[in-house]
Amino acid sequence: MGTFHDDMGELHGITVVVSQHDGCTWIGRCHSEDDVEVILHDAELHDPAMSDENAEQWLQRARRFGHWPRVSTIRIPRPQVSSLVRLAEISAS
Amino acid sequence: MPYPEELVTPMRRELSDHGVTELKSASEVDEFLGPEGGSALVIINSVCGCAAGGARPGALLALQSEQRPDRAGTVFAGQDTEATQRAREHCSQVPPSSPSMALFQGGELVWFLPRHMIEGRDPQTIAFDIISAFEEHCAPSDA
Repeated sequence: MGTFHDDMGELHGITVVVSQHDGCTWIGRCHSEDDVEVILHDAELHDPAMSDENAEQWLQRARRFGHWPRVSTIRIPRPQVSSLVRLAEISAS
Repeated sequence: MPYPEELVTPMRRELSDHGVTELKSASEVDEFLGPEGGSALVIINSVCGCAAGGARPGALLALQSEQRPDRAGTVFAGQDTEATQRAREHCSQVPPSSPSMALFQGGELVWFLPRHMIEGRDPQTIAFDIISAFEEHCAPSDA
């Protein structure tokens, strides 16, 4: 049984890492992404100014065990996005 | 809000018809992971077609391997909420995700496969990861 939402784009339902130009990073389940925005569900934010972990440590922990779904939905304006990759593609360090 | 049971039933039976024990209450989860010891796989099932459609056949493939846990059980996220919550409590500090899988040895979590390592992957690839965990944690002792 495949996805129920074949028309939503290849990242729909996939857990992704969204890095921002300001140094913050989101992990969440991608709803959609286009030239305007990236929409994530069940997302968690890493803000280097607010965390004891650096982004790499945080990503490595999430890569192994997953992320905490702290924000139900977040819309990230595309101009703020520096990269968008699948969490599963993050390499172990 | 739970999905209609008639939608979920085939997803339950995909596992339960192949020897995976359905756990529908907290007490059933506790008993399954309880004092009996040994190894146990818990599959956190989900309606998510993006990921669970590969998770179920991947788990069943892995459970055919020579080295496998003593028992396999499943809870259904979003449907059997009490059982799912208790299974997640047994996973202590691991963030909740579904579908996902947890391998226990003597009641202790020894391996976890989060949703993002399932979604978008074919059942054979998922099974390979699970079998690797079985080989590491379910191998018979030399004693």
